[in-house]
Amino acid sequence: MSQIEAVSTQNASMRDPEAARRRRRAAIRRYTGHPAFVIGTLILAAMFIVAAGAQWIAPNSPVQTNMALILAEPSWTYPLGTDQFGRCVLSRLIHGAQISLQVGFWVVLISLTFGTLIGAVAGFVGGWMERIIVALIDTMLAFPGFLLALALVAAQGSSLTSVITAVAIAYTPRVATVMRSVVLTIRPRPFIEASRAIGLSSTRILLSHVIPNALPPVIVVATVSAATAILAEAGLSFLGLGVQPPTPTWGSVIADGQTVITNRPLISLAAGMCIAITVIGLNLLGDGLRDTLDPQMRRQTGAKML
Amino acid sequence: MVSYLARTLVQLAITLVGIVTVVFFLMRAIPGDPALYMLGDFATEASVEALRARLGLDLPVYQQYLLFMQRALTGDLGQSVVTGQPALREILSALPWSLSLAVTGLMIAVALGVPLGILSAIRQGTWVDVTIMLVALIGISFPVFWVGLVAILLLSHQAGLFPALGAATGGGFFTQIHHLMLPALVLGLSVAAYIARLTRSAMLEVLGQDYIRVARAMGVRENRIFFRLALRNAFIPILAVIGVTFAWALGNAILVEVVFSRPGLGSTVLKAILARDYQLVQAGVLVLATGIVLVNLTLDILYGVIDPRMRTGS
Amino acid sequence: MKTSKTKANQGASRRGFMQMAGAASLAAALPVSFAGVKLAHAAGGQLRVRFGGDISILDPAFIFQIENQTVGGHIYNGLVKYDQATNAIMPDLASSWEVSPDAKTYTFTLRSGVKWHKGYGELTSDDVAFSFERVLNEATASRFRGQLAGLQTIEAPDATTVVFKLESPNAGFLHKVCAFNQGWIVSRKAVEEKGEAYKLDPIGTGPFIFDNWIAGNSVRLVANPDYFEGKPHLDDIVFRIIRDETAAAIALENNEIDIFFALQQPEMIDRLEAADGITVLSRDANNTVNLVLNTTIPPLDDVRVRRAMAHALNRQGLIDGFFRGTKSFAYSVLTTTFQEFSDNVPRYDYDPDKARALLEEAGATGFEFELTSVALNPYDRFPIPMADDLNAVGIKTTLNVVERGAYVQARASGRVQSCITAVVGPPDPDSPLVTLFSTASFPPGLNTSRYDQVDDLLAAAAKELDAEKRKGIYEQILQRTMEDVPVIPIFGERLFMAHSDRVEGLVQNSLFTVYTYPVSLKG
Repeated sequence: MSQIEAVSTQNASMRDPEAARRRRRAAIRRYTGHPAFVIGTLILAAMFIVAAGAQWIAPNSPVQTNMALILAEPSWTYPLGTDQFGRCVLSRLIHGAQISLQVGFWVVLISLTFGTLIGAVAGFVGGWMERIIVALIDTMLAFPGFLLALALVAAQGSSLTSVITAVAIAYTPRVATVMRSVVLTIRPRPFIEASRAIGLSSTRILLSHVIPNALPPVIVVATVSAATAILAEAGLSFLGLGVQPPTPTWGSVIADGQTVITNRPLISLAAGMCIAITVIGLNLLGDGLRDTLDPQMRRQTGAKML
Repeated sequence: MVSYLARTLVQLAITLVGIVTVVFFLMRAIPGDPALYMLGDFATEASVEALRARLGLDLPVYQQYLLFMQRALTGDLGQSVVTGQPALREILSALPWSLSLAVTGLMIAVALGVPLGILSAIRQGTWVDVTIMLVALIGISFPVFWVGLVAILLLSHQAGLFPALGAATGGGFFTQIHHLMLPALVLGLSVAAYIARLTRSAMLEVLGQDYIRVARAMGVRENRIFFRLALRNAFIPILAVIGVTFAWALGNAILVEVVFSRPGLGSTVLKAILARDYQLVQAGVLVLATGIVLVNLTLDILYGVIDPRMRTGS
Repeated sequence: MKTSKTKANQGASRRGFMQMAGAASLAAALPVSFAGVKLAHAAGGQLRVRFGGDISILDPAFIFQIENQTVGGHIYNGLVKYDQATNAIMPDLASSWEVSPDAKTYTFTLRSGVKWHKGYGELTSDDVAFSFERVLNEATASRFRGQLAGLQTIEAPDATTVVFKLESPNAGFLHKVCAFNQGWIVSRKAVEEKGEAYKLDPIGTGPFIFDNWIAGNSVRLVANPDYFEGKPHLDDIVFRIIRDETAAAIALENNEIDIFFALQQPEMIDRLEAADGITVLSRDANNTVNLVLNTTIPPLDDVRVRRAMAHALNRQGLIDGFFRGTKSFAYSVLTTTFQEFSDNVPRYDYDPDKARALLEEAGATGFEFELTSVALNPYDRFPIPMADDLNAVGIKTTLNVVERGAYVQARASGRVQSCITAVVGPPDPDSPLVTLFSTASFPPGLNTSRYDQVDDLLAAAAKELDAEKRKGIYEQILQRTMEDVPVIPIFGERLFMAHSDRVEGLVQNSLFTVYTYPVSLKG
């Protein structure tokens, strides 16, 4: 039912400005009335503000070591105490938000761009091209994502860029699979047939009709993959393959804190909470988007993102 | 069905060749080689050359690749560069550890995740639903190694319920199970959260279908609707999640393995990547990939059995 | 028939599973009851030792890493050995030896009746000759070939006599045939029979016999009842691989292991020292951890810049702060465990002003400096405050922490500005000194500073048979290297290990291994 409806309302809204306004208002109500979406957005907005204002918010330098202040208890100057280098844990977490959000953002941007394109081309063009791309995607998917990221980081040496590219490369095929399966359901729809009939080129149809219509579930996937990326960075840091020290990242704070977890559990606890809260925010946002953008897409997403 | 199987098998072979090729060249693109790794502090120009020659690393890369492929076709995946043991044997010795962790973890996950997901769907919008989904959300949001560390601290150290080591060195079946419980629980809980979320949405989707509404309108009892109609149809997506998760747990449980000092495929491959043990990495990835592809294949076939409409495959 | 049987089994295991779940609360009692079983044999029992990493290779021609060397130490013997406590050289497989006055011929007389493990017959002088010839043979590609440089021939005139002839005098040659690494003697028959498989199927003459290896999990050795110094007190040893120190500490407190080997975390050391029923041992190791500066890359070619860096680093602060006093101060690259140790060397106190002045004088203010280290705890951590110290005097320092494979590659290329390096080895002064300062060890060897000013002194020390004079020459080497500081020793390694009260008789050595032959378990 919704397929035809979607097309018809889309067409209607193009012509009738009043209907468009009504639709927009309904959409806004749909988002604001969805608690998951609202909470998720609020959490991410808060994280973004913290990350953007890190240098003003953080009470101390995130990297300055102080051998005279090792593992200090929490105090007014150091609200979460100091780590085994005498660095302010809270400041490291605040600055760490920058890195983690960057990792999430870039991984999503890269894997979304390439995954969408690859998946869309495969799903839309079909034929031998599709078969080759699917074979390639299958090859990549048969390689455990985290191991692939790990090997890639080892190949490029540890740095923020290499962590981002490694995780992005590892997760692009996952986005591509989702995109392809969505495109496959769009391909037979009437408005695509119609576009062909009026003589639009394949590229044009792909860019202006297929991809925009397939985007909603992919955006949902993207929020989940941002979460996965942040968790992957933490995992790499835990294994000592994260970004270069002394760069503050949540993963490296957990890893540093883990060595003192029995006497200062607060350090890695706090870092674990930062990651969890952000990931919860992303997942809530994803849930909200999934429910509001396209209720039909519940099934296609998620399962493939592991 | 036969032609479908044949086609799938060919595809499987292509995928495996593809992945081994990717791994072969990826490993050689990584700086450092096994000769340097092994000679370490006492390396000299001559000793590096001699060891490279001994390991066959002095040949051009494409020749090494052809040689490797030739041997692989006869089932010989070579010897671990470092330990000198057959690479496949070392990988296969890690397999039972990974399988037992994945299976136990998944059993816990399914036992928890599916009923909770269903309950959540049935009670959609109530506090039961909200609570379950909130817990599940938290479950997928913590880094798994972190949960593992906290579990060791609380359940092993404070409460003394489980050993801190996730694998026994001998002892009987029960000793092994006792050691396995904590890592399986940690892995299982994070997967349970995924399964609960996806079960819920699969159920909700089915419940939204027209035929359910028709059944309701016809006065079919709610219990019957849930368990006869909805659950049966939600089964396929749930099965898909379980399959994918199982494959995932085989290779991605590295962090759980590391935290709980447990052997396994993931940590063996990690060790091999870090030691530049080319043959071992190749064998490990080949076994992992075969496992993942086989799981997917089994799922495809199961779909066909459950739902004949899907037999043609997409 | 078949099905019903399977079903019955499943039923049993399911029941068992339920029992287990019920028994979970009794879990704390489980290890105790196991220990109770052990009580039955008064002597003997199983010793469980924590390893931080897996073993990989037990062939003495290739052996490396402390886990392999620890297992090797239990399986093999050398011609001579280091006394665990004093590092004095003692008889092992050789009951006596003679050194010719020109220090060019070493003659060893072997013990008779020493048996190889697993029925590989009796040890003969041929095995000894084979062991060293194998390392010397270029085709073997042994990592220790360089250690035997200058060894001309090995003769076995009769079954219990071995004669080593050297090209030039080497007063320190006994170190090279001491029971460690290439000094461990292998059975010719076993090596030739097993081929590649020998790497993890070793045959030795030592107090313990290699039993099995479960990759990533454990290594088991069983007592050798025929050991020539007497049967060990223990029945068997299990080396248990536990990477994480927190988990290892909890395992020790839970009585899941008996010895926590390679304890490093300062916090963990504090914690275990305070724990009941646990003893923490510590001892200076044979190695320092160093910052190696490449003297061919400007401005590091200027000795004033290198001295400035030595003054800029607050090394005592690092030891007291980050390491919480768990490391020792390093005067030079020789630690206190060496007979040749000396603190009569140039010192570089922490003095940022002096460092700035020196940099000013050398015209090298604000240069960019990259410090390469390896992603292994604590090597990926302690350079962090070091970088801060260097930045504070205006040296723009960035860290380059890479995993081991890439690190070894970068170091071997010889093109890195600097790297963190430790030479872990026996208490043979040539081990760190030749490895770090001889031109024979230029990259891919460890002399990545490309320092070439002590070759003459190293050769002179080799020729000198008089122990006191020899010590004097080594002191000169230490003075010269500290004068030129191509290598800044950051701290002296200190080894910690913890054990439960069950363990008796454990003596800690300075080799970075643990040797449990003298150990017995209390009931």
